[in-house]
Amino acid sequence: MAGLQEYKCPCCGGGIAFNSELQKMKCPYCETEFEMEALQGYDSDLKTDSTDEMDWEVQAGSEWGNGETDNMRVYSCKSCGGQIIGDANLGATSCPYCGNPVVMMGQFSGALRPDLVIPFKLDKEAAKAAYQKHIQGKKLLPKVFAAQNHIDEIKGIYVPFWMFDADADARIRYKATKVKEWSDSEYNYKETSYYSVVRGGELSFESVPVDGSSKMEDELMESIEPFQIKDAVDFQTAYLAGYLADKYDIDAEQSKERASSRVKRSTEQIFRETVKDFDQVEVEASSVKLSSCKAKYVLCPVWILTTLWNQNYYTFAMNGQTGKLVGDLPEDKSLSRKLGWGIMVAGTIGIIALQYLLWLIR
Amino acid sequence: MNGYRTLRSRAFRFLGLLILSCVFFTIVWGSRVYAANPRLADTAGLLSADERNNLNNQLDKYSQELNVDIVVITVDQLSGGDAATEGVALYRQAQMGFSNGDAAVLLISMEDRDWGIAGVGSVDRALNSEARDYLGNTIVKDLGNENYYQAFSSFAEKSKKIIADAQNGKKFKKPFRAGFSAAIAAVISGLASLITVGGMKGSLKSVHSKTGASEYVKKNSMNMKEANERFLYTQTSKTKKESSSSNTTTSGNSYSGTSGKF
Repeated sequence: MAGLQEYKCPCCGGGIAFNSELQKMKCPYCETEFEMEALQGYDSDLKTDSTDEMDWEVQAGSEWGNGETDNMRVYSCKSCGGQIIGDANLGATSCPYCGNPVVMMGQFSGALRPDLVIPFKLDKEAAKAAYQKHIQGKKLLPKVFAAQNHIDEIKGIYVPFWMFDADADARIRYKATKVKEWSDSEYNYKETSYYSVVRGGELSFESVPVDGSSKMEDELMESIEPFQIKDAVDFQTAYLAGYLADKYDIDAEQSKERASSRVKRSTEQIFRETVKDFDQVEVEASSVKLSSCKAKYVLCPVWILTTLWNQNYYTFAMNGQTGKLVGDLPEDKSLSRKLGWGIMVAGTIGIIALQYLLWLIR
Repeated sequence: MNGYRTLRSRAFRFLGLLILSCVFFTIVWGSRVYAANPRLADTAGLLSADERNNLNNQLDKYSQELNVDIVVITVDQLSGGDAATEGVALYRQAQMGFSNGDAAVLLISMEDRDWGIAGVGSVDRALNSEARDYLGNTIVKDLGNENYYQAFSSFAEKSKKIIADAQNGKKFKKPFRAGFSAAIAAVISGLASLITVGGMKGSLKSVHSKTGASEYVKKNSMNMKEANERFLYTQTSKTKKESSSSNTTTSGNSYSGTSGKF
């Protein structure tokens, strides 16, 4: 089947995957390790492969309705022949039957080829440990939640990002005030002096990330920043083996507005910090011009766990490079109320007793 | 004739003895019960005749028990200085009560609605600053509501207790206000509860949007090309200070006083 690439161990024929600890390809069966350079030969062969052929296989006995299969792709595993079903953006996964890591070549060929990839630095065990640490010490977390979170289902995903470089040329005008107060025996006086303050200059930004997948919540991806671009390497499909991956479905054009907004905000803040010795400062007019704008398509490593609890989904994400883990936790409202009232009642009694004691010993 | 003379001299002797006894009795009894001058001087005419009478009796009774004067003075206006100082001066000038120099004095001036409480002589130690503040705060509501008799009677009763306790070696201490204390405690612990539980709830949230991109600024890339500050104009405003109704304390020759407004 064209369109799928599997990496077989030359020693034992098992499926090999990228090991984040060693930063090399490693066979989980015979534990043989392979340098990335050794696999470059494979890549050059892969580039000469023909384009994907999509085999539509329709379920026997039923017909798909209009548009139902538009976003669906079906692949056959080269190892066991099992069907792998994914959406239009799926770039890498594991065969659900034999567990072999597979990469969908068509998703990363031609214009869809990422410029860079930041390989996973932290493995699944590190992700699980980070999650356990995240839920520790949270007094208002329901006890049952920790027990029911299916932590082994945590998955490593390469999330597509657009990383923007830009030079900002800013000119910002502020209204600033200085206040002086004094009084005499009859009156209180307040003197307010008004100033017009201007700050202008240049600032450069490098690799401002905006996630290019509609499946990933932007807020969640922004919470696990920053990604260190210095660890990024030229893209090779081999890095994806053993992990899930999606290609982008939000292009650079759609993402640049978010990048522009963040760059503008930071530029204003940085110039605002240079306005000192005033009591109050507010922006009157702001002009930020971006130039030398460039976007890079980068796959970034993220460990993801989604849990359904009490009819709500809770998603946790860990930066596979830095280890920063985020995810909103549910609140035990009953405990929260009891604790609140308990503190108030105990505090009231305690303070009254203390006041009475002070009054007695006076 | 001799018999008549004897009878006449006996009669004169008896009359003389009777008169002397009466005088003696009056002096002794009078000095025990009645002072030379009353302890209430209602110049401002705030009390009815019955109220004056009742208050006089009350002041006299307490003064006799304590052997110090408790006096109340009302005036239309002060003649300069604060109410407490003027009260002491009038007490001394009019030689009110025993006039032995030991007194608790209350003066009310109606023009500017001032009150003044002073402790004179040995009463100075009993009616310390805290006690005078306490007495002032006790009567100020009644004065404000024009319940003058109630205010003066309350002053007399509470002064008597404070002086009696001081004479028994017990220093004045403001009573413990449980209600006020409970209210303060509830507010503080309510705030503490909100902050504590709020902090715990906040620790459950870790997903936040990023508004800026400061982590992605290239090092040393900032180049400031324009930086100027231009003065435009100044605005000055003034507000009149509110007249303070807080208590002021004065002290002088063997007395201490506190004055305030009602």
